[in-house]
Amino acid sequence: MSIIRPYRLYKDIDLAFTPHPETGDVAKKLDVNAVKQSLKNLMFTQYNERLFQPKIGSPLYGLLFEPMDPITVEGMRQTIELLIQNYEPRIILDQIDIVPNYDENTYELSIFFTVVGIPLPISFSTILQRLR
Amino acid sequence: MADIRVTELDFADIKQNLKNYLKSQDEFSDYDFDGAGLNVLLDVLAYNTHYNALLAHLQANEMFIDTAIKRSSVVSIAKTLGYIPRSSTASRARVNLVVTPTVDTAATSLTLMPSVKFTSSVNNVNYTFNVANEYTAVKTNGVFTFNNVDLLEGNKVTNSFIVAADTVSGPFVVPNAFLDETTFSVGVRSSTSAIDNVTYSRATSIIDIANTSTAFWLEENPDGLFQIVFGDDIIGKKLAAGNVVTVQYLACNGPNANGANSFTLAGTINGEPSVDITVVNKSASGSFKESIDEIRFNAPKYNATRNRAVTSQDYRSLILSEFSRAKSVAVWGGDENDPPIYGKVFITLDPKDGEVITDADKDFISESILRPRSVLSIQHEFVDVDYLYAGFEVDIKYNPRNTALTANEISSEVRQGVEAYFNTNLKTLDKTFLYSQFVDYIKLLLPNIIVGVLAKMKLQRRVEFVTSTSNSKTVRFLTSIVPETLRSTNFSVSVNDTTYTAFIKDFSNTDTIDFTGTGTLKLMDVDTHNVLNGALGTINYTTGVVVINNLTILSYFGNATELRLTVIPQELGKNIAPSVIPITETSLFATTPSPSRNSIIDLDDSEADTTSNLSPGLIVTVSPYISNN
Repeated sequence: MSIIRPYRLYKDIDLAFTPHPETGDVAKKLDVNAVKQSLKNLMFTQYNERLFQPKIGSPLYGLLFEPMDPITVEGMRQTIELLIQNYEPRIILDQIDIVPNYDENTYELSIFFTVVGIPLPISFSTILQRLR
Repeated sequence: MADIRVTELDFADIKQNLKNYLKSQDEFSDYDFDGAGLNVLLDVLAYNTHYNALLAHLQANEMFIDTAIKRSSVVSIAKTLGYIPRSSTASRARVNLVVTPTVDTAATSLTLMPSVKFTSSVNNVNYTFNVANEYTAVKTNGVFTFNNVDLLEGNKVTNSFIVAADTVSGPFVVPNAFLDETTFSVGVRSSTSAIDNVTYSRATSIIDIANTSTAFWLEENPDGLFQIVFGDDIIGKKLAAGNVVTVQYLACNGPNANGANSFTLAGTINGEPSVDITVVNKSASGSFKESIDEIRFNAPKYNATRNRAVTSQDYRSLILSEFSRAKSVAVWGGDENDPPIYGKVFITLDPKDGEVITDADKDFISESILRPRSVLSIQHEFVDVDYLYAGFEVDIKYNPRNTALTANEISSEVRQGVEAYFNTNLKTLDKTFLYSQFVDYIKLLLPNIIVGVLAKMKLQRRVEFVTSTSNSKTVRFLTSIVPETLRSTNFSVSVNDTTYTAFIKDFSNTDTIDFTGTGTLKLMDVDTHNVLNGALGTINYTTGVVVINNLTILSYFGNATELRLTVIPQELGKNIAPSVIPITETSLFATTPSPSRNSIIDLDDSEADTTSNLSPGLIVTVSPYISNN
């Protein structure tokens, strides 16, 4: 199992606002974790959600309510590609896998990429499911 | 550490400032990536700063009358300047009534009470008109005749307030946004069961108000409603708990009821139902309450007058603030007349569209608005508005390569533009026409499309001659005139018992045309161009003064009701200010002084009429022009 060495290239705060167990400060997210948090933020931000910056975000939420078919899957893929291209210059994208699970009404999303300055393959996986 | 700039108001600029600050530290580095958590925090900080900055900005704006947006702010600032905005005003009509008694035929006099109502309709909406005052008529030839009865549109409303222990000085808010303050009356009873009623009068200042004066002040409150305030036993009498304040007023429909010219009696006049109504003046002068822009304009000027009429600006401000029917006012001292008249102030009122300013209005302005505030021994004289019409032959060259518009479309655009220019920049008193500005304006109507403008200008005065009566008139063109360009419209005239169709033409008094000299007006036969009268009058080419002596016009042609005199201004005289420069203070003979600032420059709206020899006021010709360079 490979261990990601802390390069300290990217430093961000943890949006979960978890306190540091010793100092009580807000915890930091470093390097790959910072980039992953950023990617997650961008994907789950809807258009018009950010004040005065209506174009930041993605229509992923909306696509979850579309018919579950290859067209929607392709739409999701393009959405994420465009999102990374426009707003996350630290990610060099390798591949996006989106597998629809028709029984569960979910999409299994896996994004494979490398981070600029960190020569390790990274994957980000999550399950997309509509809640209502 | 980087400086944080605090001058920006925009969200993006504030956020950029925060980023610039973060660049100077190395604790966090991801603030510039849109998905980063820090970026979200920057959003919150920038939004909060933006919000506070905007709030501070709005608050600062609302503190000054020039920038305040909310009516309550403007009214509040105006209040500190001693200015109370005008309320709505009821439309006013004047009628003559002839009552034929059918019920009480033995009565010798009849009283017309303010409770009598009439109805009328404007644009299919019915309005109620009330008799403004009490009138009494004596029976003459079997009928009662009431002349010049004023009618006010609106519904009479009465509101009562019971004074509580904590509101002995008011305020009492009158719950009607459409009240006419000029019809407002206040009475106070000592208790709900009492029948005594003390009438309180409206005060506008504290002058002559003692601690026992039964006075009230009317002012607009932050909700846009009027409220009444009473004294505090030091300035004005204070009320007592349990008193009942009763206010009466007309709630009117403002300008909506203007134009009513047919009235029907609702009910009877003291039991008499048979009345013959003749309209003297159709209803006019109704207006809505003073707008924010009007308050913004009037309040500082009113304050500058210090409630005194001394300078011409004082007169203008006082009239505009207390008389709602004037669109603009020109005021000048008699010393500016030609020849000068000292000790008099001349006033010209330009009524709002559709309004009529009657002699009663002039009396009201003179006696109620100006007399109490003006310098002793100064007399006020009203002068009618005099229109000077400017006509143009506009020749437009346009570049067809820069536009898909047709020549007709460009012509129409220019025509509308010229009309808009006059509507916006002229058509009110004390406005000067500047030729170069006008030409530049036309050119900029269609930038890059219009490449050349030539505007030939002519000026027109319209003079009313009473037909079949010998008239002498002096006409002033307010500028220098090109010799031998004066022409009049055709009219019918009798010379040596023969009727001719004639017109007036000017001839220079010198063989070589002298642009600074004088000329003679001659009456010409339209058919033969023979001179019918070789000494009809004079013309001064420098001052633009035309004098017509003893002209008897039998009739006009077509729809004309007036004589139109058209001239071409000299090149140096194309800027026209509506004032007459007095030439001399002494005169060897009796002259009628000419007012100096009562002219309004308007667009000549004449339409072509061959029978009266009238050419169109505005001609626009458009032709393409392509430069070879």
